[in-house]
Amino acid sequence: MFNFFGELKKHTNLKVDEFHIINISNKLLYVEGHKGLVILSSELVAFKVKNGRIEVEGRGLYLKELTENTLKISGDIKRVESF
Amino acid sequence: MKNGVQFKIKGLNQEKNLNILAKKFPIYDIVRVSKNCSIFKVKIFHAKKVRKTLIEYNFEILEEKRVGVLPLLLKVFNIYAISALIFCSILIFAQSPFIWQYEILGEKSLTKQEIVDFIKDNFTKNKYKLSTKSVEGALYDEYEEISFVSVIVRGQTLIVNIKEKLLPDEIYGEFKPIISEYDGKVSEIELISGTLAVKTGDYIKAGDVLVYPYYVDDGVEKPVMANAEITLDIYHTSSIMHFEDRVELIRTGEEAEILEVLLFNLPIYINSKSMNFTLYETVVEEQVLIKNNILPLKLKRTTYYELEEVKLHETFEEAKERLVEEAREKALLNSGGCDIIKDEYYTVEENENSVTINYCIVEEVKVGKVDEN
Repeated sequence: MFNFFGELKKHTNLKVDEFHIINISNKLLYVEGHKGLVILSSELVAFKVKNGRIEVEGRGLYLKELTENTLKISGDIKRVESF
Repeated sequence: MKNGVQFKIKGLNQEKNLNILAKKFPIYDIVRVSKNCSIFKVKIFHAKKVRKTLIEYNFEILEEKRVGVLPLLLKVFNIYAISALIFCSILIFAQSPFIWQYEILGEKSLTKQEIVDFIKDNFTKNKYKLSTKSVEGALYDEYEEISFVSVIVRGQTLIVNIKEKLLPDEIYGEFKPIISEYDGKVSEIELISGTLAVKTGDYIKAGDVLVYPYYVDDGVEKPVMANAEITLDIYHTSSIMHFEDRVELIRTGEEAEILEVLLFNLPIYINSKSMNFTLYETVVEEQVLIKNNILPLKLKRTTYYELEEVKLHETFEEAKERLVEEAREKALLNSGGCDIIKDEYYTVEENENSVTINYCIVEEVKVGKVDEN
């Protein structure tokens, strides 16, 4: 049986239980459990998560909200990639 | 975020700074304007701490402004609240030297309005110029009823606390004389207070003073309530004249009747028989036919009784008993109803052609007694 979270763990070597990402229609990205903002620009937003980093590319990006654990990225999101 | 404070900051490593801020306060609508410049918003009540943190990390605050409806409302409120506060303060300051309210405590026979009017008429309203001691003295001198008075000013209120003298009823109140309402003779006097104006046996008229409202002490008249129980004999008289030969009118038995129907007291129908009496008396009766205001119809019945003259002869001795009773009834009628009849008698006065009976009823009336309750 295909295990989505198991496959994701193999490919990313990330512990998905440590954070949650919700992408709403490529207009809003909601992240829980981030570890800090790394890059902020209108084309790229990058932030750390446990054992890795996530980059969000797009146009007209800005942070709608930033707290200690959560952030909301708003704008025209093109790609979300984890490292 | 609609309401908050917007910061525009300049400095190196913007991300690190935002992370530091985000650990302390939530940050909203973060936009990177340039490499070293970004804009973000925070809640109003976090603004002070955010400013402090930014200064601590050597960030330059290029702009700080309140955004949204709430700050606008707060700004308007502050402007008007401060204006109102200043206006009220000026008003209170302008009015503070004046007395605007009077509070009277402990009055019984005196009235609050009386005392307030006296103070308003005789003293200033400026509380800094008003001497409470002079008010106390003036009140004490003006009103004999006051035995103790204290006056204080509290805020804009002048408080007057008075205690009235406990005066006996005999020397307190309105001093009016006792005046007779009747014509008669004073038969008995029991003086309680005051000075007598009459003595037993005096004949008095209505309006005469019976007791004066004062007593004399070492030649000085001092006011006192006039109080006495005075018994008066009131005389009610009547006269009836008797003639031995006289002419009386008596009914013959013949009568005629006229019926009229009236509307608004105007005759609308008359039913009459022929009547040719030379000497007659009439009796009129009215009867309401319809009891309403729309058609107030009445029936008026007028009866004519024929009379004739008859010569009568009756000696005084034959008529005496009847005449005396008639004279007594007439005297009682003149009195208007007696409560206590003390005595009654009659006299017979003979003239040339007639005899007159004078009847007198002596009524006992008590005047002047004051109800102690």
